[in-house]
Amino acid sequence: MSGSSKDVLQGYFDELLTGFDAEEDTQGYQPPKTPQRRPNAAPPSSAAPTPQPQQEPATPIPPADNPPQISELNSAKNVAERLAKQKLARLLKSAPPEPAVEVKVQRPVVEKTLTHTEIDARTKARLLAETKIREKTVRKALKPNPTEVVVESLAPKPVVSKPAVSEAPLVPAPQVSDPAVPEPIVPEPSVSETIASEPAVAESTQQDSEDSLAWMPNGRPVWAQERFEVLLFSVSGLTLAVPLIALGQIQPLTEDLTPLFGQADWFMGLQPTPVGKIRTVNTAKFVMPERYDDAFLQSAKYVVSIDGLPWGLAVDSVNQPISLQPEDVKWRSERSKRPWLAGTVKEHMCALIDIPTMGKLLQQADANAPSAANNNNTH
Amino acid sequence: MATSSTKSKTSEDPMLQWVTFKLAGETYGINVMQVQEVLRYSDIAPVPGAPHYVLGIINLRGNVVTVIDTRHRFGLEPGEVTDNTRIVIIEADTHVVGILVDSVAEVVYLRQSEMETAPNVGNEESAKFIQGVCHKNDELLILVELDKLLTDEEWAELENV
Repeated sequence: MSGSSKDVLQGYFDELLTGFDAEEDTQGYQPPKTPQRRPNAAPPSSAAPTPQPQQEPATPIPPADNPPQISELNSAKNVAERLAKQKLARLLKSAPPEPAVEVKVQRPVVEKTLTHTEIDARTKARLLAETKIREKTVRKALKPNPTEVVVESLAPKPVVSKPAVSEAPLVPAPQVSDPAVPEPIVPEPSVSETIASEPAVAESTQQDSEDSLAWMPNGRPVWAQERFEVLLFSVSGLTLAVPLIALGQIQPLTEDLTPLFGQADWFMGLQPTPVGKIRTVNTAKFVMPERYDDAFLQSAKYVVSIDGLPWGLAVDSVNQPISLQPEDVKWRSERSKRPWLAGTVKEHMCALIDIPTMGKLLQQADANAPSAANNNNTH
Repeated sequence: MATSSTKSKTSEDPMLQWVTFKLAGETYGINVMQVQEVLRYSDIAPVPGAPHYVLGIINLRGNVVTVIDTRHRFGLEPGEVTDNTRIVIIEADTHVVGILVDSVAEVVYLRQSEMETAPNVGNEESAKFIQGVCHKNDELLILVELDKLLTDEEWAELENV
């Protein structure tokens, strides 16, 4: 018994020693650890746009370098193979939801975005795309079949003579190389859609956006319940922030800006753009009349239009968009004096504008607006 | 059949002619049906006690015509008289008056549907003169409603000039 038991023990140790490497593999594939790795492995697969699900399993298999010894442990090998198959199956399952379709859709979008961008400065162009993108684009594009939607939107574009003009020159987007961040480009398709579907889509979209721009009982707008993005721009030295969700387009202020007589002093005029005439507001005068300097008329270079409204804010320069947490903003509880001011952001020393409210104010100020008060949603 | 549909379309969206003129760098349009003639600038005789928006009177083939200071009426800065300055004789609200403009440009054809409503913000009375705006020939045309250029009281006041 002692001899046989010795042999058995010796055999067991030998097996342990020789199978050490294999054992590591086995542990790696053991149920408890596998689920932890999956989440890590999954993201890369989604991040890499065109990964072929079949090749992916190769990535997690690196432990296969050790396997030469696995042959010795049949049980471990079987386990490893089984786990590998399971992983592969999971990867295949997870892969489908992020089909290449989206990738295809995004690329064409980039070109379009660039088109619009052309109007301004290169960097600002991207901001344009992002602006529209956030809500509308994503919504519309994702609703039914992203692929189909894109195709449709692309087809009508050529028909829309207006945007087409800007599209051609935009093509040479050297900045496209920047797309190191491919994701932001995705929303762009919406931009084109907006333009193409001028009236009908705009109206339906408006209601959605109005809902999403309402204020909640907690003193914050709907769009600020979670992390949100704002676009910073400067006006006569003051930095203002506007939620991207409420932004329309950024167009350059040109000599075509036509003032109208008999209007309020904060009305700069009508700026013709490929998308229509933007009623341009002298933001400096509107926001801080007490500190207004006429130099703003010369320094203002862009007009940032309000989503869904024919109004836009003249600004000196447009900066980068930033992400804010609701806690970053000191929300104004009482907004009787400056109803357009949503709050202030200390970190960036800027005032956050309540664009929807400002849009309403502007609409109500317009005596010619078709039942301005009632039709705020309709515009 | 096609002809009738075309006719109905035309009646729904009539083509209008507008005489355009320049004032302070902007282009304005007035309905050609209300324009009687366009005169070169000639001396305008001031009238003591006339309203501030009246430049004076001119003799038009024996008829006395009151000339309105359009810039003043529109709330614009005063301008200089140049070779291009014109007096446009118009008929508004059954009254015949002249309006002084920087220059007269052309006659443009516009469909009713091409006209867009202009904003009206602020409390200025002159804003009501604007009938609409239209993008034509790469520029924005401000369409003026001459019938609203003066109120009934002001027309009556003019009669006494």
